[in-house]
Amino acid sequence: MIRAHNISLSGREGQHRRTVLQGINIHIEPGEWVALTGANGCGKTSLIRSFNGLNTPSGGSLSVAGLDLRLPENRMAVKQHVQLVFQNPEAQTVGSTPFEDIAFGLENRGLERERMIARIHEILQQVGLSHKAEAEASTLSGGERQRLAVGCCLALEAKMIIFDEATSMLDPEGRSDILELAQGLWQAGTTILWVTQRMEELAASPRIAVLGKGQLLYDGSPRSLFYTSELPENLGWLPSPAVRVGKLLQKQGWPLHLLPLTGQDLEELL
Amino acid sequence: MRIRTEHLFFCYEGGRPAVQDISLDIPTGTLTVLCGVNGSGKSTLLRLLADLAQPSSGQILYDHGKKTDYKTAEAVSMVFQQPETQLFAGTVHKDIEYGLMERGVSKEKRTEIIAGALAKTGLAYDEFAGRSPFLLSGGEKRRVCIAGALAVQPGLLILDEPTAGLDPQAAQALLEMVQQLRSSGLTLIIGTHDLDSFLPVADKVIVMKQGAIHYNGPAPALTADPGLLADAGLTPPVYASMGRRAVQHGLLEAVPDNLEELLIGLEKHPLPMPQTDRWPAGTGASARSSAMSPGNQNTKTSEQHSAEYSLKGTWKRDHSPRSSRTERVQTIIRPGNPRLEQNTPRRPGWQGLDPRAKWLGMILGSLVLLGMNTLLPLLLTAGLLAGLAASARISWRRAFRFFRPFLLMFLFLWLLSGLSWSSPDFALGPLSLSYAGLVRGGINVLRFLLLIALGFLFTETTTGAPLREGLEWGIAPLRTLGIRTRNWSLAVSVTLQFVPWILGKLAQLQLALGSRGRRARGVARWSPRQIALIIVPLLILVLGMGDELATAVESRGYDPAKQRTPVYQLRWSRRDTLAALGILAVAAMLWWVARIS
Repeated sequence: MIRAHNISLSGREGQHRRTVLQGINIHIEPGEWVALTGANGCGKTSLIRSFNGLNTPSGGSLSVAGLDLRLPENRMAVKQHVQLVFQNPEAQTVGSTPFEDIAFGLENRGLERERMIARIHEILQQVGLSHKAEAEASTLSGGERQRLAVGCCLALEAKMIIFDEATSMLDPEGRSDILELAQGLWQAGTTILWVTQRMEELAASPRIAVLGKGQLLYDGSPRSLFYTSELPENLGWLPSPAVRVGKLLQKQGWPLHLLPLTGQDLEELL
Repeated sequence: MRIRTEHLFFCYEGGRPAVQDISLDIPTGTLTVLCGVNGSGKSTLLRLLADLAQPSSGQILYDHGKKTDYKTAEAVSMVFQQPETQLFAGTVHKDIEYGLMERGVSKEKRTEIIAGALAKTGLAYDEFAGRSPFLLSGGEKRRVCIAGALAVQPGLLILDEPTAGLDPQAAQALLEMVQQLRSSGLTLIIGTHDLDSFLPVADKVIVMKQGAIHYNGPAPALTADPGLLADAGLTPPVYASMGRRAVQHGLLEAVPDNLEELLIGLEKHPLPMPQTDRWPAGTGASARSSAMSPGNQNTKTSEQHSAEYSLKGTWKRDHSPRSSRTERVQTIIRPGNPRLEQNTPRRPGWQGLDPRAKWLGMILGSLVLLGMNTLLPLLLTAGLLAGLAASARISWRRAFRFFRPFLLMFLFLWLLSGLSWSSPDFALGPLSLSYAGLVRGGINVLRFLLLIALGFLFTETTTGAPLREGLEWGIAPLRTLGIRTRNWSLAVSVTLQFVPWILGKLAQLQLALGSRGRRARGVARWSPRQIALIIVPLLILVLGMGDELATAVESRGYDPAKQRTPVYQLRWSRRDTLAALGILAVAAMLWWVARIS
């Protein structure tokens, strides 16, 4: 799905531009779930925006869904395949009702009207917003707005959805709603890139990529990151409760593959 | 500062009570954690305690002894969840200074106090004082907000969701800061969802459920009883749920009060190692093999990846204790709504009118209004608009909320236009006013209010898509001149959606400003000084929003050069012809009245 080879990205900082990321190599296969993390301002957002053509790498080669993003014409085409759910729930509703919001993406694709309307209702049902199809957007909760944003990605039939800290401004219920929705899509075959700062969400992901100091510091499984790498400690992360219990078990001689990563794993130990 | 409340109730206008019968006693120097699901009344209670809202009944007693010089409620500082709506000034120094100025602290003392407050939040004065608060990171902004709240030496500090949206290091640092503040003797109340972090440091926990107190007491008793948190819709902290299982298995004697206790317990009484591999074979082994040092992780082949990450489907498949998404979705879908299944959503009454007819009314109405120079036609128009609003079923409360921000400004403009030094007719305090000026000014002000009312009526009865298509139709001829009409109609329809958002942000900014200085209520919140303070952060928010929305629009494949198929179909029916004729007739009549009077 994504083939990034030695890419560099520059970002805006006040008036001048500076290089935020350098020499990034990452391959993401179709159907994978990858969690991406890194401190605020480390260039996560610049990187993922380059995956759907909103940013252009200043160096290296980037191909997404088989499209070479060095070519300007592909930067529009890639949006058919890769969609983003942004962090701020308020800043991504373009339509004044959920119905119109989902319609916006379909209108851009030039779908014919009858099919479009049927598809909108299908999607609203999929994201659990059928009962709010014609509600004013300003009356939706943060969680509902994020579900709507996921719906907009579905409208474009995205093969990959990037969640850019999409749950960070939500309450626990909204958060688990979006996570469940994303997991459902993943199990149905959608590639997911899940950007997060939350340790539990990281630990639950099958593959983790860590950005820092302008480069990719880690790309691998959660167990090796939390139980054998010194990176979390070097980055000053506070391990999640499950990992702290796991570290104790590790000291008591448990093999790596039995160590817990999530609260769920922890409960299953007893 | 000790706070007691007696039978507090609070109702939003016309609604059921948001909080009910809250009686609390919070002793000096304690840390109280307030939790509850969204809508449990948590935020409302925090606002009541901060004196930013008035209880419907009941009272709050602030018992601050003799030490403080401030008026009682002003000894409470509150920091809200979103730092973006609480920062006002051009520099960190000035931002914190605001609260001090409000309390009349002399200029010489201010720098020292500001430096002290910043130091308490872990920010160096020399490094941060001159910087713009708007350009700081999320964690730093939060700290500046807290420094501003601390600078005024509050007896009580209220924090609403202080760790939301922070990265793990910033959240950890904030937790440590909170503990330091508590040990310095400050009374703290923290509203949070993050029970794992805050319960171990709380002296007392209050759990809210449906506006009432569900639990009020120490954290250990709360976490020891599995039902208490679950009843309120909350998930217990990991150490408690794990600890309880350990107790059930006879490993521990009591449910631990924090993670450290759990770890110590498990060190003494190790968990039995499971006999069978619960994890898919190979996962652990390959995970080990991928334990490489940071920096050289990028050499794996896709085969390795797919072998290593074959977890798909096993991960959290049975995670959710609730019913699955599809089941939940099914329960909330209404049985087939015939209107929705038709081609284009056609709404009843005003909503259903063709947007072109409404645009016609909007444009003609505005032109006629601008030509009115006497009271009679303006009053006629006002009556007409009020009638239309009523027939469109726009509630008065909604209309009032919309107009409130404009009213004081218009009142001010009206008075300004009535000022006359050369030929005053009467004096109002130090101001000398003339009748002629007041009449002239009043007419101008009324005219502008009516123009706004016309726009309000239009947007209230038209959703974004019809509005956009109607406008697009009208300006389409300009396309021959090379103007990108689609961009324009999209911009207008998106901008109009900004209005409720801006009003919401305005309310948040006012609340934050209120918590920093005097508790302004009623019209005092719309004083020129308050508006001047709010305007810059509001503009920054609007610009940021515009930028993010533009990215969202671009990201969804919007291309002005490409053909679009609008979901809303313009359909001119006989009703629309009648409406257009009516609009023409009314506009002509009003124009005629304006001419003759």
